[in-house]
Amino acid sequence: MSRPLWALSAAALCGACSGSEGPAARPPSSAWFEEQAESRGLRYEHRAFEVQRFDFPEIMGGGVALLDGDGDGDLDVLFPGGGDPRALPGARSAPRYFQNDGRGTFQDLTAVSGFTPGAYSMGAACGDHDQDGDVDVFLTGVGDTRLFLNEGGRFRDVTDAAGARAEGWTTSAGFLDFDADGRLDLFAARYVDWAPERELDCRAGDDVRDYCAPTRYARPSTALLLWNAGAGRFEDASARLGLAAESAHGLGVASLQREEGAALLVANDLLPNQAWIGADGGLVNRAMDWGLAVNSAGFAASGMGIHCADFDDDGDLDVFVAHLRRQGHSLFVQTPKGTFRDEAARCGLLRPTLPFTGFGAGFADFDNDGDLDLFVANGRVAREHPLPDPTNPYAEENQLFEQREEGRFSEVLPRGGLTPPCIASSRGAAFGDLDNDGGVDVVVVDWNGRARLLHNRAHTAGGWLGLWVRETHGGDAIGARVELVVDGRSRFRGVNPVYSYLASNDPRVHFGLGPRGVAQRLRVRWADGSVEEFPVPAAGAYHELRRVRSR
Amino acid sequence: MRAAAGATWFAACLRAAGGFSAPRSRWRSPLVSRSLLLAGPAALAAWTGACGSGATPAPPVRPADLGSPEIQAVVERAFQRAERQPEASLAWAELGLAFEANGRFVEAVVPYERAHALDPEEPLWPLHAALCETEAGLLDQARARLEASYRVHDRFAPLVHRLALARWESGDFAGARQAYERLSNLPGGGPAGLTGLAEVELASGRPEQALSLSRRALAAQPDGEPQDELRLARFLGATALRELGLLAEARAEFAAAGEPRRHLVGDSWSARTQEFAVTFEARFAAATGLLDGGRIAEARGILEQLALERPREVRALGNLAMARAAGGELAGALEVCDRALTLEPDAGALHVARARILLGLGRAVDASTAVRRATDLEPHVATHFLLLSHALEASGDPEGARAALLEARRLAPAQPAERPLDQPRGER
Repeated sequence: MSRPLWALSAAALCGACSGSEGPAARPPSSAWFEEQAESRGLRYEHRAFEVQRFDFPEIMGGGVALLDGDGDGDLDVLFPGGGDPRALPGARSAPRYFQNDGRGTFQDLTAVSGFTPGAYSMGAACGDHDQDGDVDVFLTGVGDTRLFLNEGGRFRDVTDAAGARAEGWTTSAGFLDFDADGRLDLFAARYVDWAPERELDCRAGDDVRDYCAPTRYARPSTALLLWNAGAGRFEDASARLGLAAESAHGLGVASLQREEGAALLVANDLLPNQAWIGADGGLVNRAMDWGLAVNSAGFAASGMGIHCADFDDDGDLDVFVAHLRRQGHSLFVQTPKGTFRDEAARCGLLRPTLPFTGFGAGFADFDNDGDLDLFVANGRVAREHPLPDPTNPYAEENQLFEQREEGRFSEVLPRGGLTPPCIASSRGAAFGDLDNDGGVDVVVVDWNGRARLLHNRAHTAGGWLGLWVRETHGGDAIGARVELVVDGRSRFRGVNPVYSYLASNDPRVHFGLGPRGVAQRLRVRWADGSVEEFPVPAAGAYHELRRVRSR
Repeated sequence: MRAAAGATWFAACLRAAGGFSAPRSRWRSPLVSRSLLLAGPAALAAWTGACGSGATPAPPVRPADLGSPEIQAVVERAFQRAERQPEASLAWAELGLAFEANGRFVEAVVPYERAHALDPEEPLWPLHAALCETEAGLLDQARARLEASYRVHDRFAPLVHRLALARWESGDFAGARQAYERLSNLPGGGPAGLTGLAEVELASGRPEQALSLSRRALAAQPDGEPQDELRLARFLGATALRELGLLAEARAEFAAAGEPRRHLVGDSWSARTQEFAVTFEARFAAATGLLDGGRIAEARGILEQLALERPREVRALGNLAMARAAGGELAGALEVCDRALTLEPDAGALHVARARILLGLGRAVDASTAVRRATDLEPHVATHFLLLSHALEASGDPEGARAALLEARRLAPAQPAERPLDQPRGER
């Protein structure tokens, strides 16, 4: 990444006087994002509770999904829920659905969307499970799950008919084709086995009532896999495939494409992460063998948001996992042998993240300079001094990291890419280009706060190319990998809406090209391993790539 | 039950609630003062220049409201003592500790700075100022202070260890290597220094060197307790084996490592925390630190009091049970453990504690019943099955013992965890 000379000088000067590393020196006027939720009509406020009882689900926040619900080529926004963990189903809050007018301005269409009140919903997954060319929605939460079928841009609850109801406290989820049969299955993390009558009285350091840690609750949980049996039906295959054999405190899910197939990752809170892959007719957890289970010091940290992406453009996927304050995040870099090494320290992501608790997280080339940057939505889960905001003991600032010299990140100032900085307790964060201007925007859901739309102002530093990669039936080709050769060098991006925390993200593939980058070659490796080459379309726009050769 | 076994369990189960690391040793370098004198005026100038103006900092200002009457009172008493002896570095340091022990890390820095200005030869004060800055998230300031202090106090192992870690966290592997090499040559720093060097080599992509260093660290204390630093060394060795493609050997080493914890070389000042901790959580953390350091009687004294104050606080009861057991009072331990279980009957760690106590009482059959309850509740924890194996062996069921052992081995490669009653590392 090239930088103005003055910025380099300022950074060097800072380092000289402090004797330590500081965030990247960018003047406040060059904030990468501008908060525009209100002006763009995205008016949503997350409610964690009606009465604060310190029920555990209250503090875990709400999610957000970016999906083209009406099939008009732009991203609509869905906020799954919140409300009151103890409320009866009929009294619970409904998801909120906002339709995009194509220019990144939104209209609240909840009333006619078909989304109905249900469980204490938290996360969402989006995918075309019935292969009819539109995107369906799966909601997670406390108590049960729900599946909504897309019928021409309106949604209908088909949970029971589809066999998609699952018990427990589900958090992040995704539509993924784990067995490469061409149909999208549903994978969801489950957190702890919680019920109001099992809530505990936990205290902060100064004896004030506070939320408990997951390990205080006796029973952990297990991950959920709803296998797509075809004809719009799912079957809970968790036990049959072996997922139910290992305990989890799952908060984040992701898919890791490997030569031997798609692995399903679970970011666990104070239990080792899991990496499930097919073997002997079932699934086995290979996280420890691959080096993904624990951090570089062997500690099963508090995994929350997770993202698999090829941040170093070496052709394989790496894994970022956000953690709690004082733990530092992990960046598991894949080695040529297919194992991983937590290189957060080497990559500049350990020390700057130690003071923060990260939830929603994602890589994207926010400044279109050709390499991936990283945004992390932060917010504490426990009350501790010093309190950045006296009115909200769980508030922190978000963080934005720019990839500078290859593979090394520096924090961007102003912190979180915003002026003034937003101090909140952030949870879900979804990434996508809401106004189709080539800049990846971020929607952040703050605990008990208004949703924020961080509109990207940094994307004009380089050219870009957007691709809507679809299967023959018209659904997003989830699991496909796109290789774009720019100036003789390959860059790899996945068709992957499943990352971050409680989120579903822009399914389109976005490439930053840099100020003078010229794309020379375009290939798609589909989820089943077959490869097709396409002509390189014009930069500066989104294009559809539809699979020509069927499976 | 042997006290040592209990203490080992404490180390795994009873984690200090945030704050600085629990005292491991009463480390105090005898060469600290001499090193400063030998370093001469240039080093002193470098030190004072790096850490501020060099003049005595202004006295701390009384915080108007610390949010807790108990903390306010202990701080006020420390304030008054310091004001009566304004030239006494110890009095200001005690004020710092009054803040630090109760989680008010930002407020602790200035008193420590004042103590340091009055007694620049004492490395504890800048160390604790840096620890507090670290806890408060002021990492750049903490590292700058550690770097400056290291120029003067490079034989003070707790400070060298903290600096090495700060450098490592920053990705400054060359700097971390230099500090860990220094630490490995200091009295008391051997295993920690070698372990740190192994971590640096691993992060630098040199698994062969990491493996060699981890084995040297393990060999440095062949007969010692399986302390956390050695668990970390073993984990790093296992990681190196995996990177070398030796997966079977790696799996065995991961299983042996259990769940490691980074343990920093302790210092004598941290050991005084319990004198100043006033809130329940702060005292609980202090007691946990004492247990972790093997100071059973002192820990038990605090925990007995905490259990009286909060008879429904399961963590205090559970830790008290283990403190009593480690002190040899097994019947009393069982009584308090049962009391805790009536409050949280599904707490796996309590059933494990109960099983250990019952084993100590020679009631192996009852112990196996107790630990089976833990394996039912937490079937993912390998060490529960290990304990079950011991209990079944002792109760005359070798086949059952073998099955439990196999289950422990099956779980261990994927699950290196012995869950604590509470898991306060990180923000929690």
